[in-house]
Amino acid sequence: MNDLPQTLTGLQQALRRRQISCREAIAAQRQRLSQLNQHYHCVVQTLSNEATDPNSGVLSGVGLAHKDIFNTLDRRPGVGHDSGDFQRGLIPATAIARLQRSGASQLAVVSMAEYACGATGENDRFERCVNPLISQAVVGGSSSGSAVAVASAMAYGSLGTDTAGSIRIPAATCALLGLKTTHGLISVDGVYPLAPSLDSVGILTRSAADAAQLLEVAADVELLRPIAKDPLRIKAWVPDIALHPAVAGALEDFARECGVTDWVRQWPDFQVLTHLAEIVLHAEASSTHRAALLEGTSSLAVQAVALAGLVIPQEWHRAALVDRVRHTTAFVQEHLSEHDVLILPALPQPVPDWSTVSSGSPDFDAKQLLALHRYMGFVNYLGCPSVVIPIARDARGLPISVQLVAKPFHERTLLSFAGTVESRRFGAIGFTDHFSKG
Amino acid sequence: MSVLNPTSVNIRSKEDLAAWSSVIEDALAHRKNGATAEEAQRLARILQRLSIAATDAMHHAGLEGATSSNQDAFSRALIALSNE
Repeated sequence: MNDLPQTLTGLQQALRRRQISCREAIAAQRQRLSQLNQHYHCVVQTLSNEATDPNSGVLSGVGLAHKDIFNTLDRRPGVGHDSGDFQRGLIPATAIARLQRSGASQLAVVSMAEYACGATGENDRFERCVNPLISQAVVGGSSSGSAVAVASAMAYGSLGTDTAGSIRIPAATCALLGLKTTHGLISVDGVYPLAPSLDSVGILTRSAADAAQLLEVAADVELLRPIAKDPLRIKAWVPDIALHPAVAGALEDFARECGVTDWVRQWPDFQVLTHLAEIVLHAEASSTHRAALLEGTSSLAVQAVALAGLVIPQEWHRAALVDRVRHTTAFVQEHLSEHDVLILPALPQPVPDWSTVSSGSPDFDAKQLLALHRYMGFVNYLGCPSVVIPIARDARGLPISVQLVAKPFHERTLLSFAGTVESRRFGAIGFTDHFSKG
Repeated sequence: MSVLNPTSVNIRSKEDLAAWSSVIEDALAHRKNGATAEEAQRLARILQRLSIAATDAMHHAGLEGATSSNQDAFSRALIALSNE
């Protein structure tokens, strides 16, 4: 078999038809990863961690490459700060171990923003990774290497983490599906923290079916709720300010195509929820990086996220956490008690270029950088699951993505809906290949 | 642990804070007992550092405590909301 299939489910079909063996598939994927990394620069280290038994399990023959934030066998993650190192006896993070027990092989660890602090993949400690769609387009962060590895077909999927958009932003810049799971659905054991109240492990893939397979293995499935009955009841929020006309138009067209009749016109709580998310993020990030902040050894990226937390009153943080149950309950009752899915923006603007969102660039525009996570952090505060998928192309052929939110533990409904959109809009071969390559 | 020659001020728990409190009391007694001007200045600086470190430590402990104590309640709420 000369060409590997583009999606995980496509590979599984080839394996079932015996067009390729598991061992041949892994060898071919390792070769492909090595070749493509010469162009896209997202690999921190290749691994030889084969599955416990690469010939048995639902993910046998499948190669994955995860964000360098997870403990792996005998290896401490570098977390975007260094290249990690050998640590005898270190056991893999729970989520990684589950995937390996199901037959998946981890081919590599991939790059990220330092300590998961950044809405882009900017990280001076590593070579800049390249967006496979258009090289000058930014790769969102902090799970930037994950997005590049999957979008370039170096790996069939990647686990990342999302504290304020760190899976969904890179997915939106690279035409991928990015799933931020319900807080607590996938174990964070063996994962380097940023803000524990907000941190979620999630998944980046090229298709909804691929994400569903990885989710069923990595998550505590007894918590997952069944898929909601058809027809899904869908509500949409298209904010009337600060949304680029092309993005607003694509969202409205998409919502109408989905049969939305119930529109959120005004949502004042959004600003409140965003503010509360920021308090928790800054306070807990400062706690995670306290020693380096006090010693003055933390990087600018970490300072940007964590420094403010040193002076946030403890009472604000405590109150933000105490009020969290009330806010999440109110959100679910207002938006999801009579609806299965809420549609809202992912990025408020077309995918920007590196030059406009890189801090050292003469064209740097702080507003564009901050806009990348405008619609992200509040979902982490609410703890709800969220999926980002591409739905249209902008003037350059880059993806315009939408964000779909559901009640806690209703990931199956989100992925089922994403799968329907995928096949309706793009056929059955995944999202990513329908966007610019250059 | 000597106030006049502290190698570091590292307070991570209430026990650490209690230990440093006794050192502070010693320092105050030392000042009362006729320290030189230089020693008094040094003590003042150390006490200031201790005060900042103690405030920071309490802040840090409070943050960590609030984070962990609210996790369980939030997890239970998420499960309840999933069934609504």
